[in-house]
Amino acid sequence: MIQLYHVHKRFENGAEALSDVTLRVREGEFVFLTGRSGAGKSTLLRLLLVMERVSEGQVLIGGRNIHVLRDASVPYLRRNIGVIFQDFRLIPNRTVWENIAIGMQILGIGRKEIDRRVGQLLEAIGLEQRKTALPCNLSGGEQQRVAIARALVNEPAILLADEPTGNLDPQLSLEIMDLLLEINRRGTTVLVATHNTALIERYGLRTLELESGRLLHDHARRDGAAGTRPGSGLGSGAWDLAAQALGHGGAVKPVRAPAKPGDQRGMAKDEATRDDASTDDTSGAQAGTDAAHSGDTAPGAAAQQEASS
Amino acid sequence: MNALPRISYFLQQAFRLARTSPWLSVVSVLTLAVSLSLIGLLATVLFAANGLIDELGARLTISVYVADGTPKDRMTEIETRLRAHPGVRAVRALSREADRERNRKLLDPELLAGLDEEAIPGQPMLELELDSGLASRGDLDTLIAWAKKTREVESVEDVEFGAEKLRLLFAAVEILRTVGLVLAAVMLASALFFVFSTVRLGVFSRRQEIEVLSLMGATPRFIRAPFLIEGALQGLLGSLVAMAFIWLLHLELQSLVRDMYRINMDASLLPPSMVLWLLVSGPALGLLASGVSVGRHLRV
Ligand SMILES: Nc1ncnc2c1ncn2[C@@H]1O[C@H](COP(=O)(O)OP(=O)(O)O)[C@@H](O)[C@H]1O
Ligand SMILES: [Mg+2]
Repeated sequence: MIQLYHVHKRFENGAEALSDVTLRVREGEFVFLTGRSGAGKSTLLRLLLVMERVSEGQVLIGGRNIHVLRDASVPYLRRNIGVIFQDFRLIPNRTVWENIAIGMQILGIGRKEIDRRVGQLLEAIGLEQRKTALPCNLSGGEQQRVAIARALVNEPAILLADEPTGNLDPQLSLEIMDLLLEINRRGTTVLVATHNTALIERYGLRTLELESGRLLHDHARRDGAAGTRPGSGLGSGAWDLAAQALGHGGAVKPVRAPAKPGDQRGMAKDEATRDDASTDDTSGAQAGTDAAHSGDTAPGAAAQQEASS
Repeated sequence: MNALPRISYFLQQAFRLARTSPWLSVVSVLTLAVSLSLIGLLATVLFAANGLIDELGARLTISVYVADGTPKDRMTEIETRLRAHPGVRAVRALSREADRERNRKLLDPELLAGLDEEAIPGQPMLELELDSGLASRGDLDTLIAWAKKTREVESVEDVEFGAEKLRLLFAAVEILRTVGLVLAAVMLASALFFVFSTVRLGVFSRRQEIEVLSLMGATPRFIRAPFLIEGALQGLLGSLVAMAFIWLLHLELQSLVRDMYRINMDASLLPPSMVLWLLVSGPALGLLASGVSVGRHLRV
């Protein structure tokens, strides 16, 4: 899904934020990207979104070399990548509903369809009652949930998160993490940049460690860790079975290459024909948040201890 | 299928933009309205004045009065000489009696009643008809200079030329045109600047929003559209205000004319051509100003 080959990123001032980074993230994987502040995590995510261009090397997404992507094609790539940030980046003068709807408005989808999909997402993140609220009237955790819903509205193949829990207390951080895991469980490839080692320890998922722009370690996921197991050699058929066992049958998305301008319509149609899956999706996400709300208090406290030690 | 939801989104955002700096928006609309109506009215007045000049110019004559008792062949000589001058279409010779007859017709019969025949003014003269279409400033000046020179010709006593009035009208039109154009240009420039500034403020206050939209996969066109529409809407609103203003002016003038001259004004200040000018130029100018502003300030 995501491949980097000998990627270098130098800025105009000569700073080399990434040097010779080669890595691969498979479809459906959940991967942490870690390293001290300034290690190059954000830069790597920005390269994937083509907010920056690589200085050297290749970046492939869905098998497509985004290094050679024309500026005019960049928006169509981004439509397949959801992104969330530490500071949420919700649009301040738009309501919760409007913030989530943006992605669909960009595609020119009709109001009815948007209402339905945004309604589902609002329910999934437990904010149906706040849909007309402005972001400034929401707590940090609520804002991040809205940001996640916004990122997911068009069911992107990839979700990038840059320090998604950086502004949240440990309890809320766990809620957000569970939401991200739930999203991953339904087939989205998730890449989370964080320097929160406690969080990484807790989940034991695959972790790429950067130091001064170099890839220092690639820690494999622990056996029995949460999340998906794409490296285990299961075919996609087995994948579906696994997903069904988890109660989200059929929700695993097919590989989606970055859309070309002409694919837009196809995506919109895709959206319309996937009603059933979407409904399942949201009930699943609801379950995820419920779990986070009810059962996870003790581990949350543990994470808090870890973080403070 | 994609167009309708997009258009409604763009309009919604454009209206929201106008509300970011409401006072500046109002100022933009008003200055646009003033400059559009100024240009429209100026064009109307100049058009009418030019019509009047053409009409007066077409009826322009020069009367050359010749001394009483000038011999016939001398008359003919002068006549030939005047006829040869460029711009002179025809020369008509009037004897003293013919001139007196014409004057008698012009004067009030009551006034003439007890009058001796000799007391009625009459003088041999040559009446020059000028080419129509000489009503340009330069032509007029040459003619006036020539008419003055003719006064010095032997046997010529006086030259009367109705062009002085026309020249005054020319001067007035010229002043009106210059002042009006400068005023309109200044107003228009400030109107465009206000629209430009409103859009710039909108762009600056939406830095974050623009970045988010871009990250969500919005095309530059999608991001720019609301700003452009905002400019066009301001232009349209300016047009409508200008139309209302000109209509009020028309009504006011109409009642003024009716009260003063007891006639109905048949000319309208708001003919279809004016409506068309306002409806097209307003949005076009608004779009132009916002387009320049977006081009300079909105980087995506
Ligand atoms: N636009 C930029 N211009 C110059 N240097 C930059 C720019 N962005 C990031 N850097 C530098 O690149 C390095 C990596 O930054 P970043 O990717 O933000 O690290 P991280 O997200 O891991 O904290 C830092 O040394 C930072 O100063
Ligand atoms: Mg960072």
